[in-house]
Amino acid sequence: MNVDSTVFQSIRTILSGYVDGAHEIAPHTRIIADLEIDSVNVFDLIMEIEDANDVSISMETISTIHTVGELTDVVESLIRAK
Amino acid sequence: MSLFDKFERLRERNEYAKTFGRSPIGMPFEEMLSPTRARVGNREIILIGTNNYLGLTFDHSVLRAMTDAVERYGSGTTGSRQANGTYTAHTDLEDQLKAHFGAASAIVFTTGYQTNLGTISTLAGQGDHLLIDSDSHACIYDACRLSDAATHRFKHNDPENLQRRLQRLPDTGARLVVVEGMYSMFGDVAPLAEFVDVAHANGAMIFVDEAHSVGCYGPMGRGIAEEQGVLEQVDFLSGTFSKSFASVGGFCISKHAEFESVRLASRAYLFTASGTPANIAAAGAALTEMRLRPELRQQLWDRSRQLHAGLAKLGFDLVAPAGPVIAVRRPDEVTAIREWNHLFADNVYVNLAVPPATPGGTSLLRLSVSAAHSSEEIDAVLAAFERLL
Ligand SMILES: Cc1ncc(COP(=O)(O)O)c(C=O)c1O
Repeated sequence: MNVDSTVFQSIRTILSGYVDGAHEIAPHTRIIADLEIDSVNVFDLIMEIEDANDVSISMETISTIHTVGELTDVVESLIRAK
Repeated sequence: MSLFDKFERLRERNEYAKTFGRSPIGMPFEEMLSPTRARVGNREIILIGTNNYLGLTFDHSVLRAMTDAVERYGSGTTGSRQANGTYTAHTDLEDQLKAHFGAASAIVFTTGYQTNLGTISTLAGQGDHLLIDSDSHACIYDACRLSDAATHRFKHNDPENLQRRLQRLPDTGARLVVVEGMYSMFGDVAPLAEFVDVAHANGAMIFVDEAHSVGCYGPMGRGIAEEQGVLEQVDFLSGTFSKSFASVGGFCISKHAEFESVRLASRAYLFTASGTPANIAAAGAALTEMRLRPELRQQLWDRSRQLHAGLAKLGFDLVAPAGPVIAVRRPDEVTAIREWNHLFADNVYVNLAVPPATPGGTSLLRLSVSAAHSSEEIDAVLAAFERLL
């Protein structure tokens, strides 16, 4: 994935609202393990990302996503499939 | 590395809860004295957390139906519904449910959990789309895991959010929206009529789990769908016999006669023993009581309003308006566990509800009201809550 992609940039902006500033958000960053986002907040986070990109990510797909890069790839492929 | 390592955190939490006194988890009642009283040791406890909404567990006609069924059919069915486990007790109950709800089809399952598991996972298959409310009960989530369909969650009780999600789905595959009537933890009610409109306008069918609302809501006690005037529109309505029906088992009814085919394909129907004759007969008798005695619903609502007003007056943070479930929000888990123990020491049993069983990480003292509660019992519960302050 391309770190300059608008999808990655928009995901990074949304994620930064859920973590304190000290965390680096890069493609290899693990969303739950590294950013310490509470599973209660993951739902809101995913919804915000879905709304920003006008896609819907199924729960089955969400359970396969670990890193910010993987999340970006999924969103980009859903946009392409539209 | 042991198979049991993964339970360590749960075990620690359980042990921690015990340090406050009695463990609230799976506490045994030694004798049930009535629908609202139990004996624990030499103490008599007021029960206000039992989902026994109509208080029918000691009703004479229900108990009589059970003993008659035991004499006529024996203790158990020793088989599944499609093999040797269907008795006329089961088919009579299905006919009774069809008539009560005006449905084209009714299927009785062994528990409510299996009802949702066995219907939702079978109705929505490969290539289909399930859209579920984010606060759904565990068995709805489990049904989605078992289904080959893709699952999408929408914001709790938010038809506009559902609408957006439906519009984003590809045109391929069938769509099923799943909501509950009244939500069991907070006691809040779904805007079902709006959900029905949104689902149907976007080519989806709608399934409503009325586990906690059948018997409690609607002019004839048929639940939230009836209360909101959309009983004829909902495609599937499920319920349990473990609450208002004072028994064990579950059912799903549908306006679509084709729903009958689920019997041929649902693994939770095909591969488990059917409900015992006694349980099935009790559910049938409870349904008759529900139908013939609307005053039970009136009593439930009178007691609920009394309790809700009393708790509000004491300044407790109540999550939803008066209803069969009254959830009292507590600031954190430790406070909730401590207060649960104080109430129990004061001879009042409520449900302790803490994450992850609750939405949004909330800690609750959850009360469920019964038509069998006397006004004096509600006053005694209120006095116990006042002593927490
Ligand atoms: C919303 C909801 N659906 C289904 C069930 C399952 O019912 P049962 O206890 O009959 O398995 C319950 C109760 O536990 C419930 O709260």
